[in-house]
Amino acid sequence: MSTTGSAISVRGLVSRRGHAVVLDGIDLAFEAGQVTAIVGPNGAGKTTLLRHLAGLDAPSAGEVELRGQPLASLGAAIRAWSIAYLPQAASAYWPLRARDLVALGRLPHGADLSRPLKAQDAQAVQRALERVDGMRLSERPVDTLSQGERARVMMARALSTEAAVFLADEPVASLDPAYALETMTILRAEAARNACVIVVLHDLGLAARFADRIVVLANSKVAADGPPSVALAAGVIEAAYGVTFRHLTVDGIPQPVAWER
Amino acid sequence: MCLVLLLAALPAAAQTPQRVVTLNLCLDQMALRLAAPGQLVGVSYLSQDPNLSVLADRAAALAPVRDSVETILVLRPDLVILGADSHAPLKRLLRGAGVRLLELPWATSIGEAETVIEQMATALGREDVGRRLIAGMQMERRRLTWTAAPLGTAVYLEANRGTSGKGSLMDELLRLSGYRNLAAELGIGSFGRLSLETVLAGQPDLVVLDGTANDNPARATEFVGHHALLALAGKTKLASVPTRFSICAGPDNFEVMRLLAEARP
Amino acid sequence: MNRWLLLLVAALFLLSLAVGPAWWPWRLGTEVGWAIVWELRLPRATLGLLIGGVLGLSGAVLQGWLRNPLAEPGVIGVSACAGFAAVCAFYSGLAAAFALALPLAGIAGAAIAVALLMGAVRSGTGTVSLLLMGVAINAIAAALISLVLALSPNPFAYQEISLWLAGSIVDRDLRHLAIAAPFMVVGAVIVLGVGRWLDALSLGEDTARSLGADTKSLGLRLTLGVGLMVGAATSVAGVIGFVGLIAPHLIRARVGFRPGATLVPSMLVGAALVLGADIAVRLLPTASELQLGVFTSLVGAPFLVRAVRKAHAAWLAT
Repeated sequence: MSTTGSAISVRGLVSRRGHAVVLDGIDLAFEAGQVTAIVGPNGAGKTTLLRHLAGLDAPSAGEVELRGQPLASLGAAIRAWSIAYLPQAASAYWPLRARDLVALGRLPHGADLSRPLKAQDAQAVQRALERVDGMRLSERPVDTLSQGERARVMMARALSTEAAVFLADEPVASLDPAYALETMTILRAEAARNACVIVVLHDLGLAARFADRIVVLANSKVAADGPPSVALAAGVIEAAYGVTFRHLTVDGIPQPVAWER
Repeated sequence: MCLVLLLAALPAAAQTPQRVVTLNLCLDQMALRLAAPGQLVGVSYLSQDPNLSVLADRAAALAPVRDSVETILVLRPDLVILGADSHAPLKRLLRGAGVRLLELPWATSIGEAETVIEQMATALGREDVGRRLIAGMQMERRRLTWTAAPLGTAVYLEANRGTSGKGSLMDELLRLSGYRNLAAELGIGSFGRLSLETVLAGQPDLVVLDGTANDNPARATEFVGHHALLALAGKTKLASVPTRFSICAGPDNFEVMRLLAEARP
Repeated sequence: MNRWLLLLVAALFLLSLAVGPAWWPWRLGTEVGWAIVWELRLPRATLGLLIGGVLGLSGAVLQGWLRNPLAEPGVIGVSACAGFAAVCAFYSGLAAAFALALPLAGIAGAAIAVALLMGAVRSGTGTVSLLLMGVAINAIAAALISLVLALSPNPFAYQEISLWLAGSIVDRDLRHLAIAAPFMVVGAVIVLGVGRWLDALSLGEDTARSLGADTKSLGLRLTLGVGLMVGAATSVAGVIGFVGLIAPHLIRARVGFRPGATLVPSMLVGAALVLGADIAVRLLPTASELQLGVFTSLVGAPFLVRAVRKAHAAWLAT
């Protein structure tokens, strides 16, 4: 498989934590302009894979490459500029104003909150807030926001970097359906901006509706990789999750539903 | 032969104490001068510190005593001489153990020291030695006292910028040596504190301190090397008086007066 | 805000030069006046300015790094550790033979404490573990200081434990200033540039790293900077507590809780606090002058209580 044309890729990625092997020889390449969903049962290594892609963990073996360049050889500045990372249950330790928090996404572009933002940074912050429909939140301290509002501000922070690669770890976990749908729409828009969007999801239905491609991780390995109709085929996910599924089809989109142990 | 000697010693033993322990630095210093050889068996541990005790070498041969009944009783004393201001429980416990106590006041002048020496000499059965010591002190005092017009003001500085004001031993020593005590004039009682700034502002003619006090460094004594004191140089004389000569009222005070006399203009 | 704080600090500095038992010393003649202002008041005022500044800054830096409003050099044991090391150098006579041994020992002590804390309290773990660690380090350092003082042959040394645990800048002279000031200034310069990355750490260590923060070298930089500042300050003055707690506390809400934006104002507020406290202890009609560290603790401890209650409420809310 050619990896040079992809936005970000992993080759032979092995990740160990102590004696446990979390990821065992993963080969994946992710394209710009696509939303790739990573799904799989708990403990399959989804979050670990995302952390490796973000350069937060060093592989035990194998390599992560950004546009064909080994990620480890790139400086922290270039990495931060190219890859936006939204961790699971993102939160802030200080009650920053929403606008300031979003502006943190501009740090890779040289912004400094202690000085007035440059025009291009201020515009990017504005765009990000608009994209999450968060303009009316911009002056509020984040500790006064509801959980859904806070999730939007965190999303805007990652968006404001306007990076080539956008990594999001379960951005819809514990969100109301309205917020969840809105979040997935924002991720699609990010792909439409030609970003390479990689998102860890629990909800297979949302993955089937919004992802161009789904990677199923199970037992530290890639169990399936392809468009939703292929990756979410009954045989694949029943083996991965260890339960039986029923498939509904809504508007031509398969919606797997976990049915029985 | 031995028996005869023992018998001869017995009647005296009934009145004069044979095993004496003293419990504070100043009483130690007097007892070390007054006691017969072998009569003194224990002195306070402070007396073994050469920074505080003029007779540290002699004290080193004796058992060091702390204010704990046990360390005193193991010496099997028949007389314990202690300050009148010692802790009441200590006195009670010693009396309870059947030890005779002699309580003596804290002397804050040469005259008071002479009275204390006299009392201690009597208790030790060493009246002659006591009389000789006091006579020597009075002679020294006459010899060293400045009788002409006062030479100016002086200030004494000790640890933590403590100073000795009105009614203190150092006040007396400064006056006998021909100085007015700046601290007393500033209204400070027998003990008080002075800031270095007040010392500089007072512009004394003489500053008395222990120049060796900070040889083992402590923040309390660090001021002796403070640069600001150098500003007094030229106008103010500096006399270094080791603490051990001025800590207790007694015969050692004349060493202070000798050092002050040397510093005279 | 910074301009007003700067004016306040300047005013307090001049006031510190003007206040003392002799008040207007020039009336006593230029020589004595000069000695009082130059040798006594200037070192005191300058040390107050610098020590207050670096303590305020250290508090702001540690709070940003540990993401905890209770992190303060005095509370979490950094100052006490520096004090212990300085006490070793001072009472052993090493500092008398080699003057720089005093600040260097203090710096080493402070840096070791910061490194220990960073190791033990990783990635913003709870307030409880941070405070317990601080209690432990403070207790050990106080016991060791007491031990070293007891071993000193100077009869006054043992009474000085309170002087080290609640410091003072009385009678410090220009030599104290000369050995400590350069280290404090260098330490401040080292940490003043970290504001952006402290801002990034508001989002947690992972996100900060994804935004380009090199947390490893940042940790080393802060250890070195805080070590230099707190170590040098404590080695000449003793522990002056709570300044690093109060200063950022007063500032934080005014700068929208951005950790980076608290650095410079906290430094200025810290300087103003210590200069003000040192002037206050000179003017208070106490029999012997109250120790500066006692005064700052007296004023600062209520802030700690308030911050703990707030932190507790936040913890209950989550």
